[in-house]
Amino acid sequence: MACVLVVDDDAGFRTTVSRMLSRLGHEVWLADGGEAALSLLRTRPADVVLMDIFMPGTDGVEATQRLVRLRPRTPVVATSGGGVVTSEVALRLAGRVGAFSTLPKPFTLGELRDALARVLPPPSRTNGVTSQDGNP
Amino acid sequence: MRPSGAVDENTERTRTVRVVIADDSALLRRRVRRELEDDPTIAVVGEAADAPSAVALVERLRPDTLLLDLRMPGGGFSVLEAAKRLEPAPAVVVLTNYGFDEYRDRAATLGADEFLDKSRQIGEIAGAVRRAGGVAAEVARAGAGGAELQALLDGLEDAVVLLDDDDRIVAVNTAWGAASVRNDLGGAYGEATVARFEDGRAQVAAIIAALREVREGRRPSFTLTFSLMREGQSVWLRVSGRRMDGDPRRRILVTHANVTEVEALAQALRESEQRFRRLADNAQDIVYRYRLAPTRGFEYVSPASTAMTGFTPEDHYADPDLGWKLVHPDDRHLVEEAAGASGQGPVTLRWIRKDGTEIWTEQRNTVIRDEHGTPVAVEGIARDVTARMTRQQATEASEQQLRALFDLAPDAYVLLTPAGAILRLNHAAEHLFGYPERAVAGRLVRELDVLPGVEIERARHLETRVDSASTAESAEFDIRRADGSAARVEARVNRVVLDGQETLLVMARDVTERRRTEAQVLRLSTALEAAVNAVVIARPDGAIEWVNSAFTRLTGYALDEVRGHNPRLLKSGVHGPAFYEDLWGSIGRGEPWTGRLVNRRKDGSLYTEEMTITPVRGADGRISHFIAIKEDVTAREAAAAAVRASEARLRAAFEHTAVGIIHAGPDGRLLRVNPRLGEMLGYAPEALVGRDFREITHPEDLAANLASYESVLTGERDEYHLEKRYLHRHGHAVWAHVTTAAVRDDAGQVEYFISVAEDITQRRALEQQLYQVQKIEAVGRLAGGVAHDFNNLLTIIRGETELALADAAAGGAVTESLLSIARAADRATTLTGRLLAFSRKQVIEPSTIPIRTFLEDTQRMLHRLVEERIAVRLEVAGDVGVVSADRDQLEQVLLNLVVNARDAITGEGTITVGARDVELTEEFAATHPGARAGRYVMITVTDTGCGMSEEVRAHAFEPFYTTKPRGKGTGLGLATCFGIVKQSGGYIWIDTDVGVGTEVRVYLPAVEAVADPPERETIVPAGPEGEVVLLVEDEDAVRRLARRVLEAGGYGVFEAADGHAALRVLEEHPVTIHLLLTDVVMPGLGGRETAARALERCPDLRVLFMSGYLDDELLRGLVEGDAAALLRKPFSREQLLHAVRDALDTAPVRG
Repeated sequence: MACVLVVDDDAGFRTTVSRMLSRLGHEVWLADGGEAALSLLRTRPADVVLMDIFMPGTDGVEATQRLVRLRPRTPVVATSGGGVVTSEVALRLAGRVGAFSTLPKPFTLGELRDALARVLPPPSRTNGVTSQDGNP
Repeated sequence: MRPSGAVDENTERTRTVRVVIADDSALLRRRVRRELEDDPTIAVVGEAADAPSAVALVERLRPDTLLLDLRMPGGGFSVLEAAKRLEPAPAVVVLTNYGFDEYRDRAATLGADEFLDKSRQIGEIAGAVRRAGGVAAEVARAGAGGAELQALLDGLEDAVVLLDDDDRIVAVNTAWGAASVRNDLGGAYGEATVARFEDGRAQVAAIIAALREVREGRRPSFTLTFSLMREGQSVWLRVSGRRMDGDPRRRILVTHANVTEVEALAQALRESEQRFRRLADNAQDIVYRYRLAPTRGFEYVSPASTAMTGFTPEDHYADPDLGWKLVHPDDRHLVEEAAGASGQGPVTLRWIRKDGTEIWTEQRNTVIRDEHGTPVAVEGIARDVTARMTRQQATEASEQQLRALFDLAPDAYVLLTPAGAILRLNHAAEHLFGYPERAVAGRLVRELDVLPGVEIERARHLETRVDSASTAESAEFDIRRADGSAARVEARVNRVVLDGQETLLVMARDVTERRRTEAQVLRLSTALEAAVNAVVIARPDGAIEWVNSAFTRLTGYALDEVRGHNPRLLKSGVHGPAFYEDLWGSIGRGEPWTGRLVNRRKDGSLYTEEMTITPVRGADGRISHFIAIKEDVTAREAAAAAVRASEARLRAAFEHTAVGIIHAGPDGRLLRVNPRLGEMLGYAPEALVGRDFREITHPEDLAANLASYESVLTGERDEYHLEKRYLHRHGHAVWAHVTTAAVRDDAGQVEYFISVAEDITQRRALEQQLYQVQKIEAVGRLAGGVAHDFNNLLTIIRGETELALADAAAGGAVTESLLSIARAADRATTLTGRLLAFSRKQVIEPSTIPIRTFLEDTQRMLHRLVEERIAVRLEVAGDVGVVSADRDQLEQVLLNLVVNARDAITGEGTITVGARDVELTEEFAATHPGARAGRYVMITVTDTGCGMSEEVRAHAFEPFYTTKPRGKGTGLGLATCFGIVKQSGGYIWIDTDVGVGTEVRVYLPAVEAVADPPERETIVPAGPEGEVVLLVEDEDAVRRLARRVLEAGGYGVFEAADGHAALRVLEEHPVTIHLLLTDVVMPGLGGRETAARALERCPDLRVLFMSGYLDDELLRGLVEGDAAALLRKPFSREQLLHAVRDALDTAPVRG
């Protein structure tokens, strides 16, 4: 179980992703923009941050940069459906400023799980072995 | 004057005054009779027209009163005498015409009682009759005294007194005076009268004397008229006395009548008569009256006759024929003629005086006629005009001489009336004009066509000048002779009086030949002197006789300096002796020489001239002169060279320039084109010449081209610039930027056009490409933004679907997931709409839009458009109103404005979007073209950017006008905004300041806010039993969904996957199907075609189209063709059911 902070300006999106993460067994925090996410993270660390790139105000790229300085050990998964630039460009940009991983929108439950799995430390060694065992 | 009351009855019976009228004028008799008939106391008992019958009548009828005209035929005096001889004698009232004293006096002596002027006093005749005859008659008839008599007497105006034989007063009437009656009765008449007359003793004595004569029987009656002063006024009294015949007491009745008025008139008449008499007596002319009837004779001849004729007036009175005898026997016919003509005009004739000498007299006669028109007299004046007649005769003699002079004068003389009628022509005039006098006398000059129209005016002018100037001015005229030939005459007009008539004397002299010669000489010398070329006239030995001023200008030598010199003084030394030998050789042989030579001016400079020397031969055949004509060709040489060079340059430019050049006539035909134009249009240049520019202009650009062309033709402007398409020989369009300028003649008419056509096909193609690129880019940019949202939505849909599937598999609730999915789908629909709106293919669906909500909703999108460096602020008034507009379009306007604002800001800045309600005044509307007064919602987009120059602002709304770098702007943004705002009934305005920023204000008409229509979800209409829908849709999923919704709504549904299938279904169930719900775009038979065919089969069928994509064609079809409704895809359950219900409830499409 991990604590996942979802940062997105789209309320509908936040709701659904929140439901998806719950289904995956995670604890979910929500923030509607970069500043909200940063202030939240100042008080308590999250295990992983799912960060939208194109947001009004402090956008995902800036938020990631500052977040990396604030909580260098908290992995950021950048997510985008594109905007002024395509999602690939946006996500590459996010990667350069410190995002651990990227997840292009739209994504499925499985893709979300895999993206988080790539950045979260395995819950335990056995779990990881089990996991490895479970994947032929 | 009429007696009153009781007396009247007696008057009728006994006291009527019986009157006889004796006058030769029936008219007068009638008039008098009418006058008297008005008076019941008077009866006219007889009339007589001449003296004998009057006497007979009076003796027979014994009237009380006789009205007598003294001048009646047979003599009035005889009647008067006869009447007064009767016993008793009637009163006699004399009717006079002239009131001559002689008549009057004589008549009075004979016993006339009253005098009346016929012409003036006829109205008083009744009174006169009564006055004269009334009392006497009554007294005579009534016998002595008695009440009747007294009553009668009292009724009289005149004072009446009855005297006994001792002149004592026996009786008086009331007119005598009531106060004095008591005293006077029984008193002596003389004393009483003296008292009455206030010291009229002399008069009274005369009366007493007259009374005595009557009493003694020396006369039957008397009448005395005299004047007295009474109360300061002159009063005329007439006192008559009459013995009462048969009265044993020998009483006498005396009447005192106040005749002041009558006498005053008579006095005035006498004075007037005397004045006339004095005038006539003293006149130089003879004044006369000659009686024609009953006997001829002079009634009056003024004393002037004695001096004029030697005969005295008395001679005339004595000899009635003297007047006739006076007239010269040769002139007597004139008298007869004048009498025959009965004219009043003067007759001029000779009289033979008593001493036998002749005089000329001028007589004016007036015939006096009686009321029957019968001449009774001639009145006239005769004047001695001998002196005048003598002068006239002398004049006539001299006129004879003048006439001879006139006829034989060498110059042409024409006499005209002032109106221009020809009176006379002399021989010279006949010759000059070619008209014989007899042919033209009496005709108007202008009828003869002698003077052409233009000359007539001048002639009039000359004629009017005659009026003002005493000396005649001469002028020359071109005339046309009778034979049609032309001549020039010098004419002079004089105003003369001939035979007392004003006459125009035209003196003309033929100056044709003289003028011709003069003109020629003048022309020649003027021409020579004014010639541009230098002219030299030299003698055969070469000595110069004359040079013109051009020579002086050319060489610097004046005429005086060269006269007599040899032209060699101009020699420059450039030409050798052989040159001059050739020259002299030629002209010496009499041949003209032409050549170019260099000469030296007076100032030493050299010049080139072209000279022609022509030898002139005299009458003897020998050369008398040489004439040299020199032309300075120095400048021409230089100019020609310059022109050649310029021409070559221009030709090269024309031939080789990179732009097409056209010369065209004002009719639009090409006169000349350069090779480049030919190349542009695929023709040889020659093949284009003669064509009309319209032929090679693209039809779509022709209208604009013609408008510009016309504006130049009409002179509105001199040139125009145009981007137009020519037609290439192969049919494709060639874009060109054309500048056309007109070359005009002096009158301002276009002589020809010069067009320069720059081929811009390439540029246009690039622009077109660029436009496409920009459009794609713009779509892409927005798509990027939309994709962002879409991916969120897809994430929601997918995620929730997965969750729901999993929950469903586990038997859990899926509602929350499905709701999220539905919301996401709704949002996606809106996004799609926005994309479509941007690609400008959309259905305009005006709705009421609350601007505040609208701007808040749009804000997010705006943020997405601008970078972080730019702050976007929203300043919306709380109470801002509602507009009616298409929401997508309004969004587009806002987007465009914000994008422009963003692009105007380099670095950091702020864009403020504001909104508030405003009222546009009439004043504002008047100063802002396109704006109208009213209530508006104003949306402003304000930036802190670079602002626009006035130039940019002026073009800002033009399509394709852009200031953005290449590839950055389409130039359509503001144009689109403009179009949309105009379409919404609004107005758009730019306020800008370079370096400060720009504010674009969009005014949209404010509308009343209406409550949102009730949520339709709550009242979804259901189809009544039996309503059947034929659903045609090629997409299975959509078709299935729609079927489920329709069936759930209570409709029966037939399905078809395409148009043909649908028609087959109709075939099988023609009656049961009520609505055709069809997709528009389908493979095979399209929706519209399907609908059309279905309607042919079932005219009552309602049609509802559905489509997810609306192109222009479809919209057009909807408007032009059937009025079927349209349902936009995607649609909700509610939207579908509403649309179906609406379609079914509308009237059938046809019929």
